[in-house]
Amino acid sequence: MIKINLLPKSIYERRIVKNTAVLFGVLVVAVVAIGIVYTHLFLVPMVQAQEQDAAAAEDIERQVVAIEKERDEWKAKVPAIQQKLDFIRNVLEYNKKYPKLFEDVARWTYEKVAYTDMASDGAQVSMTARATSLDDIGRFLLNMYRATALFTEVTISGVPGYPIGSGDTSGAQVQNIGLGAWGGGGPEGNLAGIGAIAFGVQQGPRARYIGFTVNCKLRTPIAAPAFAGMAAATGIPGQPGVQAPMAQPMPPPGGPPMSPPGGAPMPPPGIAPPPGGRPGEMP
Amino acid sequence: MAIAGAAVFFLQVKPQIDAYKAAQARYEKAVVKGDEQARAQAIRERDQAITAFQVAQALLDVQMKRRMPSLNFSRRDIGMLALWKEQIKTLGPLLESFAHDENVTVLQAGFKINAPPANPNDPIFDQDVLVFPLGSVVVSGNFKQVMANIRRWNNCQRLIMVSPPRLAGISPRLVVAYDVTCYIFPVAKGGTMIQMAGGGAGATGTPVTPPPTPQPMGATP
Repeated sequence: MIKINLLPKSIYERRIVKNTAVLFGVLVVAVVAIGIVYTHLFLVPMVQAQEQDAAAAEDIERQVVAIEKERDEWKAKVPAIQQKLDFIRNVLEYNKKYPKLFEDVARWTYEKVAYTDMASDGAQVSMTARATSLDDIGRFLLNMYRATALFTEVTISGVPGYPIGSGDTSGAQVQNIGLGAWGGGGPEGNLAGIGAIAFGVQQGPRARYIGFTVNCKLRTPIAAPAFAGMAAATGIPGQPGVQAPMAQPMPPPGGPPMSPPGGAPMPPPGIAPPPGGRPGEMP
Repeated sequence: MAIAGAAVFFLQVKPQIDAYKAAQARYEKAVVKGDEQARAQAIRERDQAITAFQVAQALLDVQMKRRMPSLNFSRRDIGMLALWKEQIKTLGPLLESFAHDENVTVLQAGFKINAPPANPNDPIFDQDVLVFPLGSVVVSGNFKQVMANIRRWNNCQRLIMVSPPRLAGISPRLVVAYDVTCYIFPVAKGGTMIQMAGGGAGATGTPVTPPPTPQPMGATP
């Protein structure tokens, strides 16, 4: 039997189109559904978790910033306090520096040399001294040259020419005093310098002295402490903002023993030691 | 279908991706200081700063109690009266009494302090430190005694700075001369101006006096 399909092909096209449309409809719905499900099941929770982490970190960051601000406020209070403390400590240290300096100078001073004047402006020490012989001056000078921890430069003026004390222009002083001579004959080169200042002139026959001046530059200059908040000096005592007094002018080289400032009476140089003889005894 | 897929992507997926990226950027920015370690570190540093302040304040309190009068200028009028009492009645006698060292012969120790300001709005009350140049001290003794006399000013009940001293003479009758200056830190600087008192020192004409002349003492060696 021969099967002949006499129906036109256009009859099936309609069904094919309908089936295709349904298929595509289903696919579209599936794609949309998959998209929505993926978004809500995976992406949204991921975003929420990340936002929670960000919020927590920001909260902690705010706390840290506030704590740091507090820390900076406390730190800002310290410099003003520390400045006052440093100034007080520096003043107390400063008051001890000049006595120590003079004691150090005395330690390096040859025992047969006596000072009649000593002052310092913080940068150098100037001394008016006297000795009985050139040898003593020489030993004194050599001692001072060895004080390299204390001085960077030592200069001496007033070394006399010949004859000693007559007409030399170096300013040498020869002092004839009616009081005690040095007790000569001690060990030479001793660094018993405090003795040169602490012990008085011993009784004895007249002696000639050679006066001279020594200037020593300090290796470590001494500077007066200053408080940053002080105003410039007005020169008027008791008024605000006056600075600490400046160093007094140094004595001229080769001059006689200086009087203290203010005109207060000063005992004459080389005053006799107390009777009874032992050096260093107080009256 | 492509259009549906694109629509789903742009309407659903992309906004979430963008939101995630924004949240991640916020987190990365905040996590630099936003973790527990940074907070613990910040707390430690704050505590250290507080401790440093308390230590410094305690040390200063010791010195203030030992060497400073209690001058508080936050109330300008009351502070001015306190300064009058300090400057006129307390400071001079206290220092002159201290200057009398039994170990040396005091040749000169007369201090002169100018009158304090009479206007509470004077700029002096705004200063961090009050400076009083007091005058000269001249003492006589042997070397050790005069050096000890200079160091002794560190034990005074006020903060005193000694100028570079000058030595003259021969021990045991060494004469040393030096100037002394007193420094006072007020507890608090000037507060609100007092309207009724008018302007500052210039407006009220606070008198200006010449520097003091040291008065020699009648002490005998």
